[in-house]
Amino acid sequence: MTDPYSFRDHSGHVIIKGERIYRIITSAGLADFQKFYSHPLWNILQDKGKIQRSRLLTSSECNKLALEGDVAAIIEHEVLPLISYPYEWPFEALRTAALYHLQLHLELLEHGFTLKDASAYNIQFDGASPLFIDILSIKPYQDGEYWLAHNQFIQHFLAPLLLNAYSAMPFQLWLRSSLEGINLAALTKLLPLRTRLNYRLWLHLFLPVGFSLNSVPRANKIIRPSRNLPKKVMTMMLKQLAHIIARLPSPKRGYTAWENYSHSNSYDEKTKEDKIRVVRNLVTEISPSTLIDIGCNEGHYSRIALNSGARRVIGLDIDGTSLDRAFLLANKQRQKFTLLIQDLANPSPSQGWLNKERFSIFSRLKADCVMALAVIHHLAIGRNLPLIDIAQMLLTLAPHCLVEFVSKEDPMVKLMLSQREDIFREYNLDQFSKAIHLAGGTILFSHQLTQSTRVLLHIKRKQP
Amino acid sequence: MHFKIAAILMFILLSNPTYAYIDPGTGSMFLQTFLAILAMIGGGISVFWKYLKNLFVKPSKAKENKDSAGLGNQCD
Repeated sequence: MTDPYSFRDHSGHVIIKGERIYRIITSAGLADFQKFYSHPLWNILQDKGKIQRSRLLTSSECNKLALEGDVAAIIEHEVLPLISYPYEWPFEALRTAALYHLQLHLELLEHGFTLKDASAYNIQFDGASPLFIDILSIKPYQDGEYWLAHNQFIQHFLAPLLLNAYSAMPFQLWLRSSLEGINLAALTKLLPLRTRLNYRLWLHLFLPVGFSLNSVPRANKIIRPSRNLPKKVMTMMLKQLAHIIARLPSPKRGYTAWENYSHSNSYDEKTKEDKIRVVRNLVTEISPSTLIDIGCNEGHYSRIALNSGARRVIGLDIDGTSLDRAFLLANKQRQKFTLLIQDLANPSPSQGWLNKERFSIFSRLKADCVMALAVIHHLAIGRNLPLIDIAQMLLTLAPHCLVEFVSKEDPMVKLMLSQREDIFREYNLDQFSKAIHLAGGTILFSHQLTQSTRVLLHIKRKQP
Repeated sequence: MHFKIAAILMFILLSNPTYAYIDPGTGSMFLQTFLAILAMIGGGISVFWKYLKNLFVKPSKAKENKDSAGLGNQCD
């Protein structure tokens, strides 16, 4: 199967065979690849964990794959546990990815190589650490060449960050519907006037956009690079962009209901201790290689899971502020904790060319255990979703689920229902238990938390 | 009449310039040509400045000593 998202590159494409991932290099891409492969940088960057670990297949291994068409060489890539997209990353993750991209480009330039594109989709996260995955983007640097991917870098990295930093608009919504990146002409109209006073921003955004808008297309006047761009100038451009991005203010979001949720919820200390104990015991028992934490907030219980034997955790939440905090901590401590913005009532769909260019979040998530602590009432009452659908969603994600069910007697649910009609007659533990059974699950244990009406359930998917 | 004026205003205010033939990257190309020219001018000025400096400023003693020390090392 050809990975549909790699079809645009004529120098090669990715194929997936079973559990293994190969990159086919065509005759058009062979010369550039050979130069990179024969350079010490190939090993140095892999050893530093800066590019995806890969190996060149021998000719007998290539023959075994029996591939047809233009196949000049094949490399096998290490399989990543999760593929995520920039429109799922919190602000601080995109900032980290942008700085990482620039730093890698500077390192490549020092050794006589460059990057031929600047797609944010070429970066993935291993835990909370960025990793460059598109080996064929690396090519030898030709003296005086232009940085043709400058515009792409602005659209994929700088523009979404600026949007989020200077307005209350989360970039993920725009980036999700515009896979080529943010429309720069539209962005310049949304940014405050003071951003025009920043000469670096003026150079990299306002000047090029102004020039593009005022250019009149003429068939007999084709614009081509007319002068050589000294390497020093390209380096300076990369450093200027790093300077802008590193100093961007954190997003102006105002107060969000989830900010400080872990401190403002309705638990007392004993309830919290009891909850931590149950989470710790269950994770130790299952010792999942991947655990999904739905509604992870700032990642308190995700970190408990990591410390109790989960090899990696994928945290999903709707709130960017909480995810930013969790990401910065996970990145600093190099935790295997990946954080994604997801509204489960409207999750990332399959989209792009033929709806196959980017995969839906549910087709990419695989785990041994899913944790949904104090989330069900937000989906069932907050978003009017049927309990049976919620139960099916949980059991699709993983064979083991740890669910905290919050009843209508809980102060937080009472608060939710205080300003709306209670049409949720079916919302109770009995109905949820029935929904679990109908969805193909068994409740292995049920534990009411100390001094609380909340109940923790360990659910297991029945064998088919 | 008011409707026509409103429609014209809407068209002027809301229409976006077309990118059908001009790639948005053209602006970035322009920026890099602009920077390349600036670098060329900067390079020219710096060469000229060094030339002027050499006309009016004699090399300092310390520098002369350093240069000769360097030659000495080479001979060794």
